[in-house]
Amino acid sequence: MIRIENLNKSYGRLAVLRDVTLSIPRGRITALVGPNAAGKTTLVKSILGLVRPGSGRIVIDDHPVNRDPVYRERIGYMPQQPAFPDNLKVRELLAFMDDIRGASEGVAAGPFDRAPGRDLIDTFNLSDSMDRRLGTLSGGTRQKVNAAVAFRYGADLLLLDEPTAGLDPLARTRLKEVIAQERERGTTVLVTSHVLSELRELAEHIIYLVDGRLEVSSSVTDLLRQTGAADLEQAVARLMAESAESAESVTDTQRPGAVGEAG
Amino acid sequence: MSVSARIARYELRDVSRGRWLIVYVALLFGLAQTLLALEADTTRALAGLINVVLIVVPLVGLLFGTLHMYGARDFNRMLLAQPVGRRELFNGLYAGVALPLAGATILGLGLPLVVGALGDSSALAGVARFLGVAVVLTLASVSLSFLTSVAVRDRAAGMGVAVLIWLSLSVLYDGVLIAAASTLPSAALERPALIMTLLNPIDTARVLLLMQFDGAALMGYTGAVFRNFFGGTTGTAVALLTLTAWIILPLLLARRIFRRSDL
Repeated sequence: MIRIENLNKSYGRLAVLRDVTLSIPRGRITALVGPNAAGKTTLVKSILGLVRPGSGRIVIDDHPVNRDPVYRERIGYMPQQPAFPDNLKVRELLAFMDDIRGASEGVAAGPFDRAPGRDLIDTFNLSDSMDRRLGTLSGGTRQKVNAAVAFRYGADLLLLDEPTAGLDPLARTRLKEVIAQERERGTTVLVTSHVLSELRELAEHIIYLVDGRLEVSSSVTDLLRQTGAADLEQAVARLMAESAESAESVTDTQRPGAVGEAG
Repeated sequence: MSVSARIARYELRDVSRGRWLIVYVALLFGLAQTLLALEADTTRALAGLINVVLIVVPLVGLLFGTLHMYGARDFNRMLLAQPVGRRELFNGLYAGVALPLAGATILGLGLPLVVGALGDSSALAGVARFLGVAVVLTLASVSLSFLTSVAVRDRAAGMGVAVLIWLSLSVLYDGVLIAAASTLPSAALERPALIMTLLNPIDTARVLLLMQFDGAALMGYTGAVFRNFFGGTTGTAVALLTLTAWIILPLLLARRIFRRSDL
């Protein structure tokens, strides 16, 4: 389980995470949603140690996230915009990643060992691209390589930032199947996506951030009951509408003469 | 093999396959070959090459290193999502960029010069000294490029700073020195000029290289002072130490910033 306690992060005067406290349940798929600039990517980057929090802490299974990179052995990460060295071939990139993972002590399991029977290269139709340089690949194929790297090491925790962006319908379906298989395996998955219909069949828990603040952290079932929505997409749409309304009312009360108007 | 060495190995492969490096080798080879064809012997060709190398090598090191670091930013995030420490990544990146550039310098300049100097031991010694200084200058300029790219977040501004550093060290510096020389008496310049030389890696390299020829005689009174200082063992050692400091100090500072910054 990931526990985030009183996490704050600012870039200069801009606060991107404001006193965020939440838990991400183990072995379940959690959707991290919110409007643009809600702080979703910063939260994921904080878990990875790419962003140093201003205050607060993150604990993964009783191990606090600090500068020791060992905890990342258990993490698979799919960034929003995959960028790879242009002149390496896909095969070489995967060997590079294997090399790095193998370099850390304690990684006994090699690629695929912990997820038997799954060949990600075939799953994402990458066989024909293995000897092509990464700089020559289309955005969609790069995203497939991105997925292959993230799922390759049988991680206990998967952090997927907009994983379906740029994928064709077939690859998108395959990716969702792979995520579902990970759920069966007991992997903890945190996924951010703007396309809520993608998360509908997958997400069991939801975290909703607005303007760096945690608005909702609940199971999808509870959220549907509370909002009276038919599905996740509708529930989140209602949450977003509520947030927009409350932001408008705050703006109204802050406007000169707003008290008089309200009264 | 350490994590840094593994990263350096793949970086090196990526950089070595890039067009930039091939063009750089061809440029240096062409310059050396042209001067060899124009001059009667290797020593005279070397003397002619010094000024060209003092301009081209730092410029390419600064621009290539800065461009590469900005281009690799997203992939660096991905590498840091693996069990890789920032120190290891930084060391691997530096080796992966600086070594192929140093190799290109040796190959592009060394091949024609060594062939031209074959059979003449004193000319060969001169070529070795020349290549050694060119490599040290390459490593120092890559260090400065790494410092630039981690200290300046914006890519365009960073490229501007890299060009400004090169311009200051190779053009503006000369202007200041000429202005000082034309307004102050030679005796008053003696010590400040020595200090200024040691504060500029390009000038330190220039003096180290010129000392092997009679070029210092052309520099008048200050030239004689330089010859006395840099011509001796202590002076050469101080110059080499200064150049080494120009490699190490910016690199340590850059690594310190890299380890603490948000990515």
